[in-house]
Amino acid sequence: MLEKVLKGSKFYYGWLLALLVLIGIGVLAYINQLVNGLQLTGMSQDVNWGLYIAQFTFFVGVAASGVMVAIPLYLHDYKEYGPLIIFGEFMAVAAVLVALLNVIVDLGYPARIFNVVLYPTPHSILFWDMVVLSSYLLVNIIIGWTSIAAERKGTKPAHWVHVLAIIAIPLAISIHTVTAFIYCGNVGRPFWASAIVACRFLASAFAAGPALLLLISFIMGKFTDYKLSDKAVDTVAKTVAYAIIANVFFFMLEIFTAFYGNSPHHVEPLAYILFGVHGHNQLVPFMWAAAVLIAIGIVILLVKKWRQTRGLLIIALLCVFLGCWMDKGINFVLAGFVPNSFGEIIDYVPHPNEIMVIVGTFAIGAFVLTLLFKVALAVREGIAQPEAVQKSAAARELAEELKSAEMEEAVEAAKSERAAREAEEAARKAAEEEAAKAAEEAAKAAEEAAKAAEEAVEEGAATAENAAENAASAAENAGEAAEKAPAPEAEAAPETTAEEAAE
Amino acid sequence: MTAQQHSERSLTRRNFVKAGAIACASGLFALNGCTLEEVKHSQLESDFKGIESKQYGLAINVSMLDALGGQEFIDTIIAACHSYHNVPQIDDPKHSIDWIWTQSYEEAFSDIASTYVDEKTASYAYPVMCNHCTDPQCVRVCPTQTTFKRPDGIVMMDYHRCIGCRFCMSACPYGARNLNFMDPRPYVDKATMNPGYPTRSKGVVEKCTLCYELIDQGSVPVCVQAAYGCITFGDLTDENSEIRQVLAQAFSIRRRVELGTGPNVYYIFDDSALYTNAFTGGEGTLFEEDLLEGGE
Repeated sequence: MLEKVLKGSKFYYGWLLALLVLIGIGVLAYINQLVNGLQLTGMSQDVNWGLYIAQFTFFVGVAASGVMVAIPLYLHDYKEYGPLIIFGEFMAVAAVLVALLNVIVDLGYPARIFNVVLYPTPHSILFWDMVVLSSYLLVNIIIGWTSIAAERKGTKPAHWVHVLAIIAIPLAISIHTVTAFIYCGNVGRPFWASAIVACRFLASAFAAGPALLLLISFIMGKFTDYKLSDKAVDTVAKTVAYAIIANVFFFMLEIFTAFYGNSPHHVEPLAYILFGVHGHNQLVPFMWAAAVLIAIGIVILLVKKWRQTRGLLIIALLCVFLGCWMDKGINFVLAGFVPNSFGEIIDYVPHPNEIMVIVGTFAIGAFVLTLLFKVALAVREGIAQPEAVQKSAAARELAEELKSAEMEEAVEAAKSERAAREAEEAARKAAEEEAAKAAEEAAKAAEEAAKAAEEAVEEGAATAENAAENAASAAENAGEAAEKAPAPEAEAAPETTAEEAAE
Repeated sequence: MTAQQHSERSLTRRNFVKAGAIACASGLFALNGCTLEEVKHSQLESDFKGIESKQYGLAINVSMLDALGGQEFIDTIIAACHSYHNVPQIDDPKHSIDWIWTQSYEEAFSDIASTYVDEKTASYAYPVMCNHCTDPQCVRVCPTQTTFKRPDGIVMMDYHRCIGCRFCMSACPYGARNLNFMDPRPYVDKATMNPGYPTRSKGVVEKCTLCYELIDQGSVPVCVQAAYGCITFGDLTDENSEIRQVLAQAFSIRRRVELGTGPNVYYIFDDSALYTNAFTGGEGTLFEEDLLEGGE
């Protein structure tokens, strides 16, 4: 199945190349950090975790959100999610990868990372995070890969895969809960030491993750045959709506508890992100931007008519995703260090090098995501082709070519009546040479192709696509007729390929 | 040859895997005798036998420190500690490393500070450091047991195991831990460097270790030696210890007690020694010359 990643459009290769460039930049930046130490980050003795750990936290959430597709499908047999689940699982794989990479780049002494395994320490939450994250990664790779392999063979996945998928549900909840425990166990950091953290993490994850999944689905739909049913899209959108509202609610609970109770330790970090404290207000723009974005997202998602308008839905999903990212991928971690042990406020100014490293980790995630999605889509496409098309390799390739070939070429070819006549003649010649039945079929096919071409000339460019498709199906017939049909050249015009196929 | 005979005579895949597993298991069992783990463990246990269930701590007499010169005097204590432990001198406050340093009353005791506190208390400089907590947060969160609590109460660090995740820094409510954001060695003064104490490497966390190496030799921490009696060291669980005597006689506070970590550095306010001449000087001999010079 892995070979599917090798074959794609120019855009596919261009996208992968662009990601590879970003990965290269990220790797160079990381080498720079390895040589010079973590001074090449915005971190300090007072703000000792920064954007790396924030990205880790955010992407653990994205990974966990796969359950929002898995629960309806596996526990409630909601069949609309059938085509979506594999992408949810593969997105979880890529997201866990980004999360883990951000932990690794965050380490001061990464060469010793296996000390976490060599000296297992159950009283450390980081140890448990390693356990659940690596389990979740493994489980999702296994489920995703076996499911798509079964799909390719036209069978159902083995029973144990289903069992594993159900095990993955509490595991997904656990990865984000354990990540929240990293923060809320710190009694000295009042902004973090709150029982609401795990709930808030899960709520914002269940909003941002499915939002990202839908956005990626729309992008895939643009470039491939992949289509989600409107019902599935709307259900995911509703999930996003519920989750983001829950997240806002949990945040409001925190606000009330802090400001009504008015304990200075509790108030100060919140005041820092909401209004700024003593002139330190660098996180305030992110807080309010997140608030506005999430508000826009909620309004669009709540109104059924707006939610079901594709353009508005995309805006809403982008708003929710970005809002959650600013909330969890920037503010939550940084505000936890305010104030420090001595009541001081130390600002965090990101270093360009650390931003390059983070972009590199994102690029690695996107690269892996692209490859995994490519495999899944290619397997699906292979199954979707009709049997007759599959039988004749030449005809199938022709059909694919026509689908993806530039429209101009098709139009030009269709305009050429001479080519059509030639094809007709060639088909007749072939008919003479081949067995009588096969020859007749081929001739018919060629005629169809010619007709299609003529139609295209009459109706102009708008219907050219149709004509090209007709020509393609004609060519398929021709291909079947001639048993030893040679593979048509990639950039051939429909009529000439039909001629060749007939021969 | 029937299938039965075949499976009896030849090595089937199942049998091969079985035999392999048995061989590996027996090999591991045999190798187990070769590990040093057991030896190490028993060695440690005997080492710690004499210091079991202790809780070392410090009592810092801030009034006396002030009387002896305040910040200026404390700076000599800090310098003694830092040069003894090869602590890098990094100027950038974002990356600077300190095992012991000073904070104002308001900063060190933000939870109990008040606008109307007496001028004396507010003006003192308060040396702060690792509190060698009874229930240390840093030990709880460390994923590799790099930082651990010795049976004598010292919160220790193993610089060779630390992965630099900085969870301990997030967990410590006292800001006592510092990361080596860069290679610290160029920032250690070669002239005053102590060859008897290891330098650290880039990317690991470090902090005060209460001079465990001196305590193990029966001596007292460097800061105690350099403070001429202003800092008292001892076992807090032993009611006859000097530190308990000191604490029994004066008002003392600790930093952020409400968090339940059980900090073991006490700050006492007692300048009676100045008048009763009970001030006897430190136990150490390391800085006697300094005492003569500084005492004038």
